[in-house]
Amino acid sequence: MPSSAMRHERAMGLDLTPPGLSAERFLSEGEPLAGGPAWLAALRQQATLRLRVEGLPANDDEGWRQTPLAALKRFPLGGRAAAVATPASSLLRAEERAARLVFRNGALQPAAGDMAALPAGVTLASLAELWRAEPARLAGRLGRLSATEGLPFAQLNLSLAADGYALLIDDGVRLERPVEIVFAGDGEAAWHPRVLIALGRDSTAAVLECHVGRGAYLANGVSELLLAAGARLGYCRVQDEAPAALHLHAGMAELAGGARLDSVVLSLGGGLARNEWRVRLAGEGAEVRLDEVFALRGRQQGETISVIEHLAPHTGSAQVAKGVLDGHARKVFQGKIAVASGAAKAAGSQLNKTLLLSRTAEVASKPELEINCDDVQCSHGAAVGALDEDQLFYLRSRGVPLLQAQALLVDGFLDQVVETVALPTVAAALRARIAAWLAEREGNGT
Amino acid sequence: MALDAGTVAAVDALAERYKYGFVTDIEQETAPKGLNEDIIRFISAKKAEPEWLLAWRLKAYRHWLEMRDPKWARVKHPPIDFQDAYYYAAPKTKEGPKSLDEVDPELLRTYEKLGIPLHEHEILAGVAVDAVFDSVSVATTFKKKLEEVGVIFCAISEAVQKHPELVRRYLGTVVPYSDNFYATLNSAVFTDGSFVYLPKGVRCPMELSTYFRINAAKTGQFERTLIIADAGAHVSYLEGCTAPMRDENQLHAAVVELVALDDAEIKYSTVQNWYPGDAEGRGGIYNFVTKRGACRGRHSKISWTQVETGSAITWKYPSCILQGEGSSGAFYSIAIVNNRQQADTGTKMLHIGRNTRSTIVSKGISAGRGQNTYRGLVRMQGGAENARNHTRCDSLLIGGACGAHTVPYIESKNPTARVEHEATTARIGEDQLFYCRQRGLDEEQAVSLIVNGFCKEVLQELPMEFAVEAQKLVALSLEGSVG
Repeated sequence: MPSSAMRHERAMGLDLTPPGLSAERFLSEGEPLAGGPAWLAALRQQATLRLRVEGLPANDDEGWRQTPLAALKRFPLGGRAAAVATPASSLLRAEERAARLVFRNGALQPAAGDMAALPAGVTLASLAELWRAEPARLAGRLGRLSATEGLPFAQLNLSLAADGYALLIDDGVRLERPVEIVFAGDGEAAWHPRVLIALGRDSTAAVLECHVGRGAYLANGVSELLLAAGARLGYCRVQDEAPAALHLHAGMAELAGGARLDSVVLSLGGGLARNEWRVRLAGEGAEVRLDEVFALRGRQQGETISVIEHLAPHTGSAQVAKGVLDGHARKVFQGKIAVASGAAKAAGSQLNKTLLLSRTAEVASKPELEINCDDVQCSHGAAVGALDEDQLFYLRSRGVPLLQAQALLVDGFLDQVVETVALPTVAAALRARIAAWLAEREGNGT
Repeated sequence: MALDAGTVAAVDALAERYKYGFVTDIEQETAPKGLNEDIIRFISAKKAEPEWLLAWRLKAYRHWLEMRDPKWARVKHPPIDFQDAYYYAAPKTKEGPKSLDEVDPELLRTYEKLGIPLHEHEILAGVAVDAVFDSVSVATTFKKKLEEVGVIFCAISEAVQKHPELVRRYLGTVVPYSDNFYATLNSAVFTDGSFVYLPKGVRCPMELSTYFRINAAKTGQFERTLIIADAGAHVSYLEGCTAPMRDENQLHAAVVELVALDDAEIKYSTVQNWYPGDAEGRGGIYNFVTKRGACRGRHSKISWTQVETGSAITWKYPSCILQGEGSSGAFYSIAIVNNRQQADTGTKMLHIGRNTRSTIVSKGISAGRGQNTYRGLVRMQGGAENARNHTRCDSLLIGGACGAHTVPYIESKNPTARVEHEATTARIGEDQLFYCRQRGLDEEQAVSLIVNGFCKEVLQELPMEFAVEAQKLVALSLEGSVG
């Protein structure tokens, strides 16, 4: 019964909503807003007001029960650090991508980008530039999903977002190679990057986002994904933030009839990283795949909170979150599949599997089904355990050292998600990063 | 247990919707309406309780005043006015009955109507029954035979008088007075319930059973059950409940505490058939119950089996605290909601000791406009070396206006512990229905057959006498949900 579970969390000292953690502090220390159309100013005002009224989350809120909110207090929120000129690493080679954008501490670095090869019908641009130059292209799109959701940090983002990118694809246009976006953080600062991806009818695109950095910063991002009928988006995020960083992200998607979103997140970084998803399958036959691979160690805490709403008939969702925890790491998974009463023939599945590699790692998983329609097929599963002793023994009996044997098994376990990624170049990039994580583990001898 | 033609016929014979909806006209003694310290003193004085128990009740009451009623469950009801109810109602008798012959014949007839003829049970069935009528235990059968082997089975108010050391030692140790809103209220005002103590090494020679009956209007029923199985003891305990049909909602907030010491085993089965309210959702019992068992000894075992078909709202999470090394807990549940019933039910398995095991099998069936939620927690503490849990939750939806929800919480802090959870939600397959109809069953019979198959895993866990009753009840609760 959660009442006593909550008490337990309290006993663990997790609900110390720290004095001074108020929406006001965030708002007052944020950037002055960049220019833009009147409708955007109105949206921002609304978000600010809402944040003031509703406030920041507390540990009493079901979605925040497991979050060490006190950690938020540590982050310096004021100002933007000076942009430094360290080159951002790239996961894709130049010939593997359609274009590249680089942001440092939330600000676009035009010199580091590469936009030459974009075909007609594809717009990839700085959001701030676009809302100054061509606001009409964003009207009715920017803020459309986040304005209605009660996610406090998404409100904060809407209120303070200074830049980000927009990827707009015209009807029927197919972008074959992925677009690569790098968000690099450096030093003590806070930024609120905003992403808008809008795909026209029957268009196709793939995005690889990479979040890296060093230092203790707060990156509070929001991505809005709008898919028109028949559109297909591959959306891959490599979350590789600095170990001391706070990474908050809300992904919100709306899919029209027959649209398909394939999303995969690789979560490796951040002292505290929280990934929220709100996916609305609004049109008949819309489908989403929402996968995650996580590997955490030290005192990292990773959180995935997702809500997939089946709002139309014949909609489909599949979610797999698999990962490993080492050291004192902690993972929170709360996934909800909600089927509305009209969504006949909906099919949803959800799987959360976690391997604990140390005695001190912890996991809290809550896969949830909310079904209000009888004609559905929904299932979920969750499993927590250690690596299989027999498999380890088999490898060790053949002379494979323990850490290497563990790495082999973990790699195989995680690869079950990676192998479903459609673009081979993206899959290879994910594999390389996972291999590096395992090699670091071996190197540390932990 | 397969559903044969005979059972289908038996179900058909039960034409009326809720056959336990009658009221017994019997002289009642009630305390004034409302809740305050004087009422608690009145209840305590009526029961001639020792000072420590009154102090405990008052401590609970004062704590309760500071608490808010829980909001996290997926149930909706108007706020409950705790002052608009009677907290003590008892059938008027001069002295407590010495044997069944002294029990008011009107009461005996009531239990006969409920299908629990106390006399017959005493002679034929071999099941010892404690009958609780509006918060007061009116009769306990088979006392003598149980006493011969050293088993104590009596009303808890009697146990307070006769075995105060046992009650004081265990009462509130599994569900503390401050546990939750409704358990705390129960600690303050509980009036009766059953008490069972099994001494070391005793295997209870028969099934023990309690029937709870709410009769009086505007009363809350707050019973408290305490079962202690000392080392090596074994007991199977059954519980049944019914109430009259009334338009207003009545609150039932019970607490059940189980304690199993080394190698002891407690099997606790419930067939809950409180009045569910009418088709429009008027009336019915609010069944807000706290049930928890502590496996304190090594290799102790506690299993909960429940068939929840009644009540307007069910809010209930029979749980196991698996403390003793190698102890095991089980939860088998069928929860059925029809019309406008709401159920938020499940379990908690807290693995503390090494090599602890737990099994959860939950079958939820939603029909009409019913809302059914499974909510469960499995927690592996740091010391739960090699602990195992397996959870299976299946939901079946009948009709487009109902809901089935699954909210499992899984927490693990030990890498050697293994937790597995799986759940499915679906409706009755068209092909299954077609197959049955083809063989001459009408739609309602076909649904009842399929539902019984769906529930089989849990029905098998029930003791024989209850299994038959439960099977009928499952079919009956779904009546009118098809077509």
